[in-house]
Amino acid sequence: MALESPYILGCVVGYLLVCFLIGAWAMGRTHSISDFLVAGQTLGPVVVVVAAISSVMSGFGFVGGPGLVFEAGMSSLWMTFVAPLGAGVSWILLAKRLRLLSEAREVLTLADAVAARYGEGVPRLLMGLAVLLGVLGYLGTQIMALGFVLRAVLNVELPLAMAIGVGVLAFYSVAGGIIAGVYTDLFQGVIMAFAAVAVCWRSLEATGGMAAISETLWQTDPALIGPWGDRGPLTALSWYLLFALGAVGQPQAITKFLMLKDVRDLRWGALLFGAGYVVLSLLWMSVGLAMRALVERGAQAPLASPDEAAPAFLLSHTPEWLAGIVFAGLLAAIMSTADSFVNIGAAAVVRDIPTALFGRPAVAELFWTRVATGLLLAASAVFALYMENLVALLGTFGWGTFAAAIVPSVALGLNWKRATRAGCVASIIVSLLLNFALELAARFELYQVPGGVATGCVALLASLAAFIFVSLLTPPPLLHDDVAAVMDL
Amino acid sequence: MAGSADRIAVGVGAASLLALALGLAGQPRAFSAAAVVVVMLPLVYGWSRRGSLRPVYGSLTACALLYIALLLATFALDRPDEPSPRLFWGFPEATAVFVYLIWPLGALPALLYGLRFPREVLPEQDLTEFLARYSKRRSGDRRAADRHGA
Repeated sequence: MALESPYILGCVVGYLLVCFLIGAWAMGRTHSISDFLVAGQTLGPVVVVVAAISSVMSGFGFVGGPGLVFEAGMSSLWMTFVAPLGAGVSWILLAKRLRLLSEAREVLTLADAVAARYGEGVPRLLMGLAVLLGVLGYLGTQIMALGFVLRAVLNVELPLAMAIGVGVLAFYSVAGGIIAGVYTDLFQGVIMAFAAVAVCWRSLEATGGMAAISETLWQTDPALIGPWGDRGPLTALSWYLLFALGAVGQPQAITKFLMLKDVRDLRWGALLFGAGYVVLSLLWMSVGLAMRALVERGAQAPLASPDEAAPAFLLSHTPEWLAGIVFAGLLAAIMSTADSFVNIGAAAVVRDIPTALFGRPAVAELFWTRVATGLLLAASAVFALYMENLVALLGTFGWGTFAAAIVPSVALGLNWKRATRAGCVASIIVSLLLNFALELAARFELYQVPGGVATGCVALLASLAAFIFVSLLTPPPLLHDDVAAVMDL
Repeated sequence: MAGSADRIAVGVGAASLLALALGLAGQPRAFSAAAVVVVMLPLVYGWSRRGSLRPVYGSLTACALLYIALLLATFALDRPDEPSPRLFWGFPEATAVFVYLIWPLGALPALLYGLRFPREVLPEQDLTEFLARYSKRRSGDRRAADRHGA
């Protein structure tokens, strides 16, 4: 089977068309900046949860994740199998307080929440910058992946493939804002779930079942099918910590709390999120293990790179109709993450940073947020084409930076009244400096964190400690009565 | 409340530094226990109601102990030197603990949250009182109130 198969082409073109139509529909429902950024707080619980899942499960989960499992066995599953716990942490620690804060104040972004909690100025500016840096990295990597997939399917040059993908993404993100984003996410989430279950079933069928895979991998290298994988227990456990607690610091997911119509709908959201993510994780696990077993048995030619595990499995071991749906699912994973990030990034540019610097957001906020959405996508495409190294660097530090910057200042800060403005500033600075410094040092082989502990985990732990101890060493804050009431409820 | 909340924050800070030290010193078993504490301890805040942190100490402590026990069991059952794996439902035993217990049981706090939501997380009366008092103080009203020192 070739990528130019009419089934694959049909599924991908059909998928892009549906996204386009959803964008056109959402355009008529977007009348204010609140509609554009938080869907006017009109969404029900299922839409919010599926959109949150789709925005967290990026193209990495469909390509990079299976590639990591192919290369290092079970190690990377500690990132995705902690999702049920991470969802619990997010809902318990933050959902109620963030949503209630938006009842008392005009909170449309995380920087708005930080400003309400710690006061205007530096905290809002740092949060806006941290979010923007993380968004640029994530967006660049998603658009690069979008270009590669469409180039292969449409058989066109990379710039044209990128232009087609970014064009559809830009249309629905600019026209319909987050309303288009969440409803395309809903559609994309359904495709991804079907793709994950079908591919898991097919991978077990192609290899003779899980026991046969385990036997094959054990004979190759027991660590591959051992609980920690080839990277060892410290790397796996540091991912466990980073992805469980760090989940409450991912803006593309937690800003969804602000979109709920009724705060009571939070009740079963965490459980639903965890269950949905379990389904999507099936693809991450099964394809990587199955392909490694097939290669070790000689039933599959060796791969040029681990990231080819999922595409090669689809082309060699699945029927064309299923490969078509999964390729549409892969595009869905990429685009659902990108649409959330571009929305958050545009808000940082037009609302968060200007308010921190000049005391108010840009005039004609909705218009300029739409313009910023388009410009951010165009800039990310240019970055992806011409500054591949910078994009790769920013992409690798995205999750860790968000976790280390947002978990202390927002998730803990909205729960602990003694937290101070100085603690907030210190934790965000520590987060940015440590993540950048450690990633750069590792990239240029100057320094590697000992024991294989993940860089993002080191930054998160240091940032938590900085936030708490700097807060305790500075005078207690005076809270507004509404903010205090949110923290008491 | 303030004293308890501060003690929990100090606990989270201390556990974070301990986890960092254990990770950098290459102690995976002890690191796993510290990591669970760093993840679970802040959850106590999520159940604070009207300033009280009391409601779910017991349940969260039980969850944390269960997770630590499962991680230590994973270490204990991991025997890569054996010539062939002892499988449980398709996976080597230690991996089976990860896949069949650690993965699904991660949902326990989310389940607790759902079950206790109306009674301890967001009782209807508390929500009604909050909305009646604060929900109209939005946007321009709030900014005006801030400017006037409210």
